Amino acid sequence: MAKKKSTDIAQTEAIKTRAGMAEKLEKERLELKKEMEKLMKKYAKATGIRKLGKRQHKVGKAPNDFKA
Amino acid sequence: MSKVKQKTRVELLVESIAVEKQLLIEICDDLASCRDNGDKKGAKEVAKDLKNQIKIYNKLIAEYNKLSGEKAPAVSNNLPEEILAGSNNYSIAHVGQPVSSTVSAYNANISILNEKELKKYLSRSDRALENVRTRLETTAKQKSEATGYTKVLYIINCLTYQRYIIERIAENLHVCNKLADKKRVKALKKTLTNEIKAYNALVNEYEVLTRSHLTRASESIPEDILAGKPYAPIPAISYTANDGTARNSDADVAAVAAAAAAAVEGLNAKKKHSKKGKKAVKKTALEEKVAEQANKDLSVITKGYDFKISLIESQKDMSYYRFGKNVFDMKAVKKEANKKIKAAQKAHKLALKYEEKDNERYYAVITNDPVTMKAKKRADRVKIASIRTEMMTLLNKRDELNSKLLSIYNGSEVTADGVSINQKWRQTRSDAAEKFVNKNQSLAKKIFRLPASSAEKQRLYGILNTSIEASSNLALAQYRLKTKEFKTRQEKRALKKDVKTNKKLIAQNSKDIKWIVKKIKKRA
Repeated sequence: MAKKKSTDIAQTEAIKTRAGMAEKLEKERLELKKEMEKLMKKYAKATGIRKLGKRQHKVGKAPNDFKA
Repeated sequence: MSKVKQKTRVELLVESIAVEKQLLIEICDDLASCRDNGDKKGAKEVAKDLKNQIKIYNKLIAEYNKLSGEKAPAVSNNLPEEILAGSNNYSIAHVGQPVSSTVSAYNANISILNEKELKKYLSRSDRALENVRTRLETTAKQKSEATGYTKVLYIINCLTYQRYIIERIAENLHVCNKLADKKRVKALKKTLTNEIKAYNALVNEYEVLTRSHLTRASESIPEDILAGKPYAPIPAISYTANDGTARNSDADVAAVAAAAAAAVEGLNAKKKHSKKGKKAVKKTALEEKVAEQANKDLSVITKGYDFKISLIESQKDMSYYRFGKNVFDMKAVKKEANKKIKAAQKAHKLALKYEEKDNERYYAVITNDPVTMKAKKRADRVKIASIRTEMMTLLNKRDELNSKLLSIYNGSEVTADGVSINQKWRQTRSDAAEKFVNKNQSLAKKIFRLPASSAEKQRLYGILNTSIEASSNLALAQYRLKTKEFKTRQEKRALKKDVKTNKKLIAQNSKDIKWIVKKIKKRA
């Protein structure tokens, strides 16, 4: 008997395609977040409001965070 | 100041005066409403705002008079007291000839400004745009609630605001192109295209309601500007509810005028009930937009985890439909799935918490108005305004991505009874699995009676179990194809591939089972 394909729903082509689409968009979203963080630093410097330039958590601590 | 620059400054002043005048009249309206409503506290606050606005307006008028040599009348500082005393006469004289970009495409005088002046122009333009956008949002809301002629009037108002926004962005695009600010050019080009689409959507709405024709905004405007060409102007429309090329009948005009009066009356009545002043209303509109965007952002995270959890749950569902199952096996599957779900829920909670904290900071940039902020230097204020604009662009971009992500995670839409499609998908799979199990009970009994070892029987049950999952996957793919629940052609292709693969798998399994049963019988 030939090796059969997985029947796990997450492994079906349709779900894989949809997850792929979401993953691509999520990646873009995180890139935007990275840009926003850079902008926040500039903003904090320009306004003098330091607390706005600093995140309350380190990069990567949140499960859906961008990489430094 | 050279004569050419002086002329440009005067034209920019005329535009600023027009914007400030509009704000001034709105505050006067609010004050009159508070007075009529007997809202003393509100009146006091609005009167204070009005005094400040008069100062701003008169300062611009003084500069305009000085540069142009004209004698435009300033607004009396006693206006708040006069309104509070019962006066309704607060019509403010028109100043200068407004520079209409519909006539000269975009403001040609921009070309003689230097880089510093252009940047200053951009930040002022952003502020003016924000005001118009707020008004557009309010009018669009009123439009959606109105019917008949009143609706037509609101559409005309929306068209006017939308046209103004297009012209402003077109000018900004022209300026940014001149400054070779590639990043902003890209963003503005996209925004302008969207605004043009919004304008044309309003034109469509207008045409459907009035059955008369309006000129649409050309979609090539961004390209024309970037190529340095003058773009096709968008004609202005008036309250006569046509495009100005034909005169309406007197009856039509009277009907529209009556409807307009009724609409204004309705608006005033609404204002009378509102204790908040203009500023508060404006702030609420911005805050509403911010809250809406932030909520959508958090929804994306929730829906993303919901999507993941839904897949695990779906897998867990299958543990109920098993041939040759034993309690330990089922418990292990369930335990593993529950563990995964718990981990996803924990991650979801954490992601939400951190995203909310980040959003608080991002949106503070938007809600903090640089005009009213304390800044050491004027240059700082300009910088803050430009950062704010950039942040707005990024947040809007994120909002667009969030909308796309939401539609992916939702399956397609949330149904009328509030059940997400993902749950419907799970139901479809469960139903198909149940059907397969019922259909193959006799085969399972046949396997049970076979003169074979329990390992051999378990192997046969295993093949049958694969078929259960394949049949449920097949049902889901068929359901989604039938209801067209796919986003792209790529996804449609994937679904078709799933149908083919699962059908093939079921057929192959059935063949394998028959072959093994035959071998076992022969051996016996």
